[in-house]
Amino acid sequence: MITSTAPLLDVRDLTVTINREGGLVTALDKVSFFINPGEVLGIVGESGAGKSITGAAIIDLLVPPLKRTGGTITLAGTRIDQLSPKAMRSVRGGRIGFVFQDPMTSLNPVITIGQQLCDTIQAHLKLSGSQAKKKALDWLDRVGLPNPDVQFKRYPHQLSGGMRQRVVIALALCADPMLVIADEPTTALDVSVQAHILELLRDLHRESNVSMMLITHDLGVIAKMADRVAVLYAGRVAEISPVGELFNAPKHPYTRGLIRATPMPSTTGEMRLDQIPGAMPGLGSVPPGCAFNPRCFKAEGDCRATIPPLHHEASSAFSCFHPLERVNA
Amino acid sequence: MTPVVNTPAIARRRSRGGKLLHAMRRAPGPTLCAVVIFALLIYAFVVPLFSLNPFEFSGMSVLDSFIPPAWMADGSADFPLGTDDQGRNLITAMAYGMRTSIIVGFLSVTIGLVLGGSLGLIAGFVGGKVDAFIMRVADVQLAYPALLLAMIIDGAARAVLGAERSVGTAMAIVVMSIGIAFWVQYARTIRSSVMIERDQDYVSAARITGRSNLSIIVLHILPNVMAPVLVIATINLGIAIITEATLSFLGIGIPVTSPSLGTLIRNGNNFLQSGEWWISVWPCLTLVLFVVSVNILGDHLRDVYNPRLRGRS
Repeated sequence: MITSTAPLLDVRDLTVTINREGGLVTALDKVSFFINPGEVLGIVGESGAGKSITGAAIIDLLVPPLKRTGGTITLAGTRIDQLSPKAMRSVRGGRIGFVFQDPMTSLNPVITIGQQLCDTIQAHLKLSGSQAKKKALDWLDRVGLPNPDVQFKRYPHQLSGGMRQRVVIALALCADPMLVIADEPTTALDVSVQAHILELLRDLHRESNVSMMLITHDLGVIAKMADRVAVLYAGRVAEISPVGELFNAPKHPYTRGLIRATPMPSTTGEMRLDQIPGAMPGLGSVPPGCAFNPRCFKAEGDCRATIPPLHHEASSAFSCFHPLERVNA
Repeated sequence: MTPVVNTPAIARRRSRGGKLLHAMRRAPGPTLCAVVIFALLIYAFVVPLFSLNPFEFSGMSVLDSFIPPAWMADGSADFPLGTDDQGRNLITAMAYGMRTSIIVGFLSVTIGLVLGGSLGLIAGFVGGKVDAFIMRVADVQLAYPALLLAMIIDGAARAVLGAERSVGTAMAIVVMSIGIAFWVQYARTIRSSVMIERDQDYVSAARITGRSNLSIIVLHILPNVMAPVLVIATINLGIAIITEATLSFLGIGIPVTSPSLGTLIRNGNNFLQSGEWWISVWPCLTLVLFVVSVNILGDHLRDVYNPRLRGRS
């Protein structure tokens, strides 16, 4: 648990509830994790596990009926969860960049992409119009758009999905943020374009050494990109491990199930695909005890009685009473 | 094998003027309407520059009163469309009248647009109780016919300002009352578009980069919701002009001593029974021509801007 450097982003006991008719439903239940400077933290989980809500909660974009009801969020030593909306704007603006899932809706259709870049740059960096334009052109070039001068004057609808996502990435990074949150950055794209975008994200990360929080349901993306991985299940953290450890020696039975449910050719060339029996409980119907216990082959009495706390080991953490042994993997 | 003519993309792309010509050829009706509107605008704004105001003493001569149109027995070539009871040349009188009607129409549509637009933006963006309040007020207002509402506002303004008022004040009152009577439509349209746009990711992106709500509304949402509202505004221009004419006809709009299409029709109405039909028929025809043209053009714009109807016609 003890880390030598202070984490850039430290999230502790983050709790988000949904105010539904007939009571509160917990969407995120005491989620804790941290991201070190320059690190890529992958967040994986099934649909509805709370991945996107985690991202939205950090940048204060939760829309009613979602509401953050507990926990602390610290960015570079500053608590950002208690700030007024105005103070939040100035802190978060520029320090956190966000890459949205769908490049079709994350660019304003009536403003040229060059103008959108310049607006964002000038909102955070004290630059003159021509300097901002130069920087914007530079970013268009860096994200790999051909002929930046031409693209600068184009509208989003004149670009393909992959090109738009490149623009979205440029928008997220152009104000030199400390942290980039990428919420399923490749999910809405063609497979061939996905690889290019991932490559671009990785290259930009290497160049700028910005911290990243990569939200995805795709373990392949995680394997390529992440340094450490947090596995979410039904709004709780199941396991946080360095990426190699996670794939080679998962501690939480759910993590292993998730890995085995991903089609991967083995060394002999055959495909193995084991699915986890059952389905993830919906919001509001999480069973008592460990949320995974009805589907877990190792579940015992204590799993059904109490919620397993996050147990920290050298470089990883997991919430399970009966973790898998290394030989078990 | 047929040879394929491969023209470069740039050459094939139409120039701006070419696009306009193409659009005009595809829609001859709306094009004709646009030409009619343009001609009437020139008529209404150019003729008054070269003729005396027939509603001032210097511009009328009682000796020329009730002259029928030029082609009738007693007609005079000096007055192609005839004169009214005060000897006003109907051609100039109608130009002055049209000018007033068009100005009142534009101003009242602008007021309705600004008022309804702002309230719609606020209702859609803020939501919750504010939204509910604004929309309930709109519902209540919809229970009244717009003309009745304009009459109520007009009457209230008169009660406050007293009977002594200049033509300018009367015009301002009419503009305000028509504008207020028509804000609901704009507010509803804008509100529903804003509710769609405000949940788009680009609005979230603007919020993350630290934009204030006001700048998000003005820079990001407003440009995305304007198209349908401008179409409604075009159609409402016709309705506003008719409302002004109706108010003036009923004697509660522009005073009869100053020209508007409504006051001209009202004045001519007194002489319909006695055979001087031309005094009211010409302003009526002009009004119909202008409003029908505006409506057809507005309808066409609505079709053009509604992607769901695109390609069907």
